[in-house]
Amino acid sequence: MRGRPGLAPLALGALLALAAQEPVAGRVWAGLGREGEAFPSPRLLDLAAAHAALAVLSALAAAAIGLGLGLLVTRRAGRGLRPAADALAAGAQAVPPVVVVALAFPVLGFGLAPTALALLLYCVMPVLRGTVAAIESVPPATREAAEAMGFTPLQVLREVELPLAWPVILAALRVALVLAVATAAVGALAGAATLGTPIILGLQNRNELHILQGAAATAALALLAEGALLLLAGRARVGRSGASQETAG
Amino acid sequence: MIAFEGVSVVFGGVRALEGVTLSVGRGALCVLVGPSGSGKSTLLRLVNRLVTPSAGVVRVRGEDVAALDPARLRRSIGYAIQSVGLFPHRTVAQNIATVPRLLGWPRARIAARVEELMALLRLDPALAGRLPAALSGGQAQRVGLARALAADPDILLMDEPFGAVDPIIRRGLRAELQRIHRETGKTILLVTHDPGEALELATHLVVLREGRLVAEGAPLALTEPPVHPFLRALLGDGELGLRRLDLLPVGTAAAGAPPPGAPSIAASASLRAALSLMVETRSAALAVLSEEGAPLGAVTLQAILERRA
Repeated sequence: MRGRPGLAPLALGALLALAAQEPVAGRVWAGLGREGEAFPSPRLLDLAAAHAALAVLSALAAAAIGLGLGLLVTRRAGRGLRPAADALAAGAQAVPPVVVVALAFPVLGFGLAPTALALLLYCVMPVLRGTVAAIESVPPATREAAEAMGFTPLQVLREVELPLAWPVILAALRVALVLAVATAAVGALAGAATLGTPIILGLQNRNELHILQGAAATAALALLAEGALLLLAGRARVGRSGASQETAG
Repeated sequence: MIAFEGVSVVFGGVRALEGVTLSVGRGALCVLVGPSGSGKSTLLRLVNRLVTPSAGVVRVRGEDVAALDPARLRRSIGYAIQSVGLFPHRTVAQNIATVPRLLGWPRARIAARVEELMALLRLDPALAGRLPAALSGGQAQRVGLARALAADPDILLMDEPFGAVDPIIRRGLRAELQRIHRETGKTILLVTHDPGEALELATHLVVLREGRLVAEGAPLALTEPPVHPFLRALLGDGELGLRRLDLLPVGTAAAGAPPPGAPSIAASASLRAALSLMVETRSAALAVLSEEGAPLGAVTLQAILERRA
């Protein structure tokens, strides 16, 4: 089992998730001699589900945009767009999500929309950067050989560039999802139901336990996302090398 | 088979080729040689449209390549390069099968062809399922060559195909290439910067310098004295005379009868080998023997000195 990627974050995530639950958190808190009511578990689980859905959807949108842009600017025809795409992504990442939420809600209103926009902007850059770096790491001789063998540009992309770039792109997607999960908490500022809600409530009511529960649950979700994707990536790698040996035999 | 008509290539303001006109006949092993920056690789890459001429016409099998679909043109031409460029995520067998697969051959035919090519290039069948990272340099070059030959193209382009291997394997691969050329009659265009390799392999030698064609012809004709100083410097390496003798078999200089007790040499050996044997044995005459050991006459030091093409 040692060295299997993903297990450590999954275990840590599960532990934190457990710690955030009302009975556990409440008892530990009381045991420490502190006062305060724990955030109820059913509500916490509802918020976690909403939080996860928001983060996953935003990350998926960011992945589609980042991947699309990344592939576009590494095509011969799209090379000219590279500086613009870089600047755009860097700019999007440079603006803190809190600011995006604050600036966007006069236009988009309260709730999910401004949060989703903030997460989307925040997560595009890692995917774009990762995609471009991954495609550029394909050895030029390999790409040239593919061209010289008579691959069409689409075949070069599908059969040479993407398979070789995939591990790095997958890592970038993982970063994007974890960023989205960890950052989605700010949505609570705009009234979106996320795991940021107990944190905001805790701040308003001076209930530190709420804040800790919200933080632990957010971290737990981020770790679970990280672990799940690491596990998935590891499985994909094993599956692929197994398949290639099979077809070769 | 391949013709360049007044071809010039400009890369971002720099002239890579200027006004090159050259015709390569069917079945030739045409070697392009020249110092780095002479445009030899560019000339090669014009043939399968990896490079587009800024002026002039490139014809392959009589057709202007500019009018052909690049992917289809490239699938009809074998291509092997120094860096090999094997696909790292595909096995040896899958790499070799690349072009047949693109051409949509049935699986059984592809498998049979891969097996045949691995045998032709003396690759251990056990390597078929390996990934390129597990190959030695020489093996990778062979796989690259097998991949270039896979769809049995009548034209083969090779850019320093033996560049990355040590001299002994290089010699073996050269012999292999000559054997394949002899047996298949393919038209081969090969780039090298090794003048020895160029003289040894070429049936048609093309010398380039700063993007211009300096000389072309049979290696023997190009090394016929008096040799232009540039060719002398490029091809000679200070031993142009010896390299020329390398191209001539002993049988072509045999005459008369050898003195008794003269050392013997095979008729198929080169005059260079004969001269070396003379120096080694301190004898000015050798007995020439056929493959079967029958006496064919004598080769003398004087005959070597007077030998003309």
